[in-house]
Amino acid sequence: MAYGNLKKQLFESRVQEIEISPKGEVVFSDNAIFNIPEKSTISDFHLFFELFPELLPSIKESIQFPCINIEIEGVKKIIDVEVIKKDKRYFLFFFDLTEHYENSQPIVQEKNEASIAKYKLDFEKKLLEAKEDFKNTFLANLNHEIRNPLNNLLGFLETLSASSLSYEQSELLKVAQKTGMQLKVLMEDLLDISKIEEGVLELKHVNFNLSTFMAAIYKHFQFKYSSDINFTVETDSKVHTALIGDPNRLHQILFNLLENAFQNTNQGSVSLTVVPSPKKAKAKSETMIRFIVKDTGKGLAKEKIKTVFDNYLQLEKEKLKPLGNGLGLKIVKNLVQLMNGTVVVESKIDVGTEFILDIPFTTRIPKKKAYKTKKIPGIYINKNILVIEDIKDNQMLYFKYFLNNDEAYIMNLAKDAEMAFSLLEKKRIDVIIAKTTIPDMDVFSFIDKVKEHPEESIRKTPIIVASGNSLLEFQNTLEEKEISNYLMKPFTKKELFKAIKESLNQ
Amino acid sequence: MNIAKKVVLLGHFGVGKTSLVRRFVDMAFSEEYLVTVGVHIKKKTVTINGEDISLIIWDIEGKNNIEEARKSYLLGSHAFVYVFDVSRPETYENIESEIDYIKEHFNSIPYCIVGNKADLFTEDFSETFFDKKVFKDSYFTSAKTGDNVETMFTEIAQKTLS
Repeated sequence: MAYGNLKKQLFESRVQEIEISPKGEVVFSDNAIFNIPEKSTISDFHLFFELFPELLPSIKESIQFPCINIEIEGVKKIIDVEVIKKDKRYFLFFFDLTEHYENSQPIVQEKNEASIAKYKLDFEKKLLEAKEDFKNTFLANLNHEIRNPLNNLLGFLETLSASSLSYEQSELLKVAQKTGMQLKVLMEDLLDISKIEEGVLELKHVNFNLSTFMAAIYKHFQFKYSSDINFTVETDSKVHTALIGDPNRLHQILFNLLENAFQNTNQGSVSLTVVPSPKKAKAKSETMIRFIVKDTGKGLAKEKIKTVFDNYLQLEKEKLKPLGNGLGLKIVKNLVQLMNGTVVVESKIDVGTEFILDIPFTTRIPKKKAYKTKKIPGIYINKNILVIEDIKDNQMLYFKYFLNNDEAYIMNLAKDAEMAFSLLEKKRIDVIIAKTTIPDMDVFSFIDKVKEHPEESIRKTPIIVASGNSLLEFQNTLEEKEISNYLMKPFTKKELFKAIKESLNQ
Repeated sequence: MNIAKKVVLLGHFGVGKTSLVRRFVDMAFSEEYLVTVGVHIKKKTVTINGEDISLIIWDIEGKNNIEEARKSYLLGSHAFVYVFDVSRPETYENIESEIDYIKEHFNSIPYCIVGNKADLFTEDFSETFFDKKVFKDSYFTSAKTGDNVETMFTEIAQKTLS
């Protein structure tokens, strides 16, 4: 064979030349790759050419169409098509590059799959965050809706308990009150979870003494579960007890863990031990404290340990089991994380469970006790409390609260802002209690109007806002307006009077 | 009379262009992702106001932006379908500039935006995620379930007539 013949053969078998008329009729085809009969129309050959005649007038000299997938009678080819216009004649060249393109396919496939996998995780995270946001907003709104009727329910039960009741009635009322309080705690738990997950729960940094704190915890649980269970609280003498932190949230953590321990222990012991943590604190001014809550209860199976802090999951899976612990353990985990601490759980079926927490606190030098002078009982002076409330049930609850109170508070009722200002201008009012949705004015405008009132005595009247709105943004706006107190529904008579007293003392 | 219209599917790789065409033309779907090299062309006839329209659908290989697409593929187009994947932000984060490119270079040619794989979202989340103006008239389709696929192709066919 002469040199060049092989090359010519190879080239010829992979390149096809076709001539078509401006109308798309096949004038000539060498049929090297596909059989295209002369006098047929190129549009009929394959979909790629379906609208080809329309395109021809726009071609000036030549045009390339790379990588066209063509399947004719079961034969698949990937070809490049080049159209050349010469002397008003159109020549098509097919280049069979099937092998080349097929070889490149796995490389592109791998590259694309890697890229998709990389971004998939980001998306899943984003979607989860969006779902969490949605859930938290929903919970906050639900919370608000439930707080108002719950406030009335608990309030009237409290008022009822002060009336003359038979033993049986009194016992039934206690059950109803206990159930109502459980509902209140559950609502607060839900709210805390959504606040923590939204990142809007702020920790306090206040001075507190760990020894006093532990003593209160011991007293509470010793009193509550004075049964066969041996309860001990021990604090190692090396633990720094003069601390700065959020005692309320620490209380919430330990309270939930101890409640959980008592709920799951029928006999044996429950203990809370406080020791210096083997983990080091990040700053010199901090100390890392380890809290160990241990019980000899029924314990947890291995597969349950992983999900013990996810109470949503538990609520879903254990539908038959009463709620019992509420959402406590989820709150524990979220709060500990918020405090930059850690919590781990160790458990064995029928042996017991141990929660180990390491939490950092800022240390402080304890102050020397200042001597306090004893308060001498004085004469009560009537205080006028202006309540702005338009709903009858709520009005009645306030009436019941203020009826025959020992603080000498006199309730004045206004059903809207207009009536409130009329009363404010007529008599001395010591504290205003406003609701969020005053019929003729929103609460923010009402506060502004009081604070801008021409009469100084009115301008300076302390304002308490009573609301079921738990959204931080709402509460922050109220804080900016310098109200004297915020009373979250549901509230008890004691809480209401405490808020009034604090406002009067400001 | 049968009218033929060339519709080109644009968008990133892996957004489901081929799956949309398969669902529309062959009524089939596969979870397996097989990369498109070059262009595959399929045809389906739809009837609009009693008139048969043959949609010549060009399913071209995915590119990160239209400028990277082979220019000759876009010649003679009667409509564009810009497909993105609702579950991959990188496939729609530059969508405004992509649409601007279409408007600038193919001024009179109708187009539509399609968020595919919508089965991964609930309606609530689609609204939250895609509240930008550019998504206002978008179609949210699922080649997997077939949701909105027929509607989208029929409506784009209708647009080619106006």
